[in-house]
Amino acid sequence: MAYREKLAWLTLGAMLIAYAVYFTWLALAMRQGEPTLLGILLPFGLAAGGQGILVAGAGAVLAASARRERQDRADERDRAIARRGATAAYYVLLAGMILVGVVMPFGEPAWRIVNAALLAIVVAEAGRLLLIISSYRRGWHG
Amino acid sequence: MSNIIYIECYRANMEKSLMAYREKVQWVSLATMLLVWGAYFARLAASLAAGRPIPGETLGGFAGAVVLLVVIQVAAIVAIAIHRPSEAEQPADPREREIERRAGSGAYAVLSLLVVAVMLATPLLTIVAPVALGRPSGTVAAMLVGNALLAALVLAAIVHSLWQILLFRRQS
Repeated sequence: MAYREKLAWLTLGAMLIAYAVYFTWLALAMRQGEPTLLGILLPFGLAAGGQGILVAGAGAVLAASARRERQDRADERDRAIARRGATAAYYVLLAGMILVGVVMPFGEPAWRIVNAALLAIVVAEAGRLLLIISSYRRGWHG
Repeated sequence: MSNIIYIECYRANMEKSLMAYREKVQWVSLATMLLVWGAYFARLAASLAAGRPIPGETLGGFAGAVVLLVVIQVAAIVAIAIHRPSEAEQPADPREREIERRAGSGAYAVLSLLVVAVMLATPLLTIVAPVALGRPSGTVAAMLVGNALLAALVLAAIVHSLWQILLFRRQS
């Protein structure tokens, strides 16, 4: 498996774990009433921090086990795959932001808008990473 | 000498366009976005500076901007397609797809960063700004967050078009 594919798997896994925990907490908190913006700040900080620590820790282990691959510069195929993933994610995030920034402000409170924006970023980023992984898996060449 | 004649014949017979169809579309997209969203955000900024942001008026202005943008862009793109129907019917070639991917990649980075910035600025937009404007209501707070996200969307779309134009120009 290519080093950049492993890195995509790692980033995807850490992100899904962190935000699955965060959104589960949010769903449970919503049952007990409307959370405030400041009230969601600490759980969000813990989720984002936990994701960062997980990616940094596992990334360091991955880098140590594949030192030569890590030092290799991204070739044309790596760059094409990265651009393909980012372009698809751009359209996903664009659609999400149209919903969040244009439709939601006319009836939803600010904390819901912010969490919907966060969900849109997580979905777009997951789509980007999945496309990168599938491009490596399927031998996409651009 | 024969080369010069060849070039002249080529240009006269083929009527090759100096600008790619997709580049023209991006120019139209960029110009209309700057014009329409520039006017919309200037009006919004004026109402905020005067301390009287009215969510209903902002909604009307937004709906008008979207309709105007769609009408101008569709009319301009149809006009370009009628002028050069052969170019408009052709699917994107590998070079054009690569340009689109590069620009999309840049626009994604810009949009992600701006959305995160808006999220971090939400307490400022929802608590401090409505009080500073003298209208501490939830509707004004939601209007401010919505317009900040709309501005992020528009900026990313401008970067997307501008990036494509720069790449088309560089490779022309």
